[in-house]
Amino acid sequence: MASSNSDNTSNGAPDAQTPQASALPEILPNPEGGAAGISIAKVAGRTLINLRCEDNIKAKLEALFGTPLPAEPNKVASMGTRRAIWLGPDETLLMIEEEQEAEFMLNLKALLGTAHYAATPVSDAIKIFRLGGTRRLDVLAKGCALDLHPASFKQGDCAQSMLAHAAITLAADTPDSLLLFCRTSYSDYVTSWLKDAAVEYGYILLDNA
Amino acid sequence: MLEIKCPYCGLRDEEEFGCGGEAHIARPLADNPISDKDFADYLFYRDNPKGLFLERWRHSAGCRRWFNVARDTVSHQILEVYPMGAKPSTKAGRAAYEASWRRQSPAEAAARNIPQKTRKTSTSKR
Repeated sequence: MASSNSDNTSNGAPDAQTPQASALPEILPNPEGGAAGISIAKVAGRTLINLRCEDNIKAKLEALFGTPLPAEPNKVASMGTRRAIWLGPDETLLMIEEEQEAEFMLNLKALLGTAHYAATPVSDAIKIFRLGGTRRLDVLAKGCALDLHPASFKQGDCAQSMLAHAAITLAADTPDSLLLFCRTSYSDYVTSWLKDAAVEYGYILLDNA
Repeated sequence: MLEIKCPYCGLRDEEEFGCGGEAHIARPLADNPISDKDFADYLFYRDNPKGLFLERWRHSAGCRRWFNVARDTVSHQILEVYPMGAKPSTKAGRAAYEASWRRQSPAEAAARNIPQKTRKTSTSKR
């Protein structure tokens, strides 16, 4: 945990963003005992590509991406570690392994040629977190108006919304974890907020998921 | 807090949306014959009715798409949500659309490139 001092001010540095940010440790045990209520893990080694194109071009990408890109609003298509997240009727966020980025972009260019599309790598702009733990939905409910109960936010669903005034994208990725995407510039704020909101349940920050 | 039905994302909190003000304001073509007064009416005047109002909204924190909303400014009831470029489909929405002074405005005629002579001059009391 000590390695992530640059991202989370746990050392009481004067540039801490909120009083809580410096006061809250990197791990807070569950006050009621047992596992921490929420785990907040940075997802590393992934490239994010923002893809803007119409449906007819989207359809051509199935073979390259490995699975059809989501056509329905607020759905995620999965293929191994790859994810294609619906962001808008002509906008998809592709998450692929970092080492595959160069090859993928080349293949994309070869496949689509002069077609009308835009594929923009946005890995530096967006941070990815994986939220686990049994109380993750209770923590998110404190700052997000979405109904995230598994009955309405099912596995394979995603949504863009606000978490404590920060723009976020959530994806119900596995039965026991969510993916959270937020702006890199907001990622310290979002983790601080999550820690503060999770004090009553206990939390743990992890370096990689 | 309003709950607004985004055409793509479904019901979401008002917090996620931005209001773009009055809908159905047609921009005159660059080459137009209208007077400065009529152009100023187009550019600066916005309706503020008590009752049904046709507005543009954007799901800014969600899919970031624009759409139109017919909303009652007294009860906040949302009568219908319809796509950009479309006209209201409900009877009351249609009536609000037709009743707007803009339908008879020279600016709107100039936006559709209809020669001024074939239309009445502005009946607006503004």
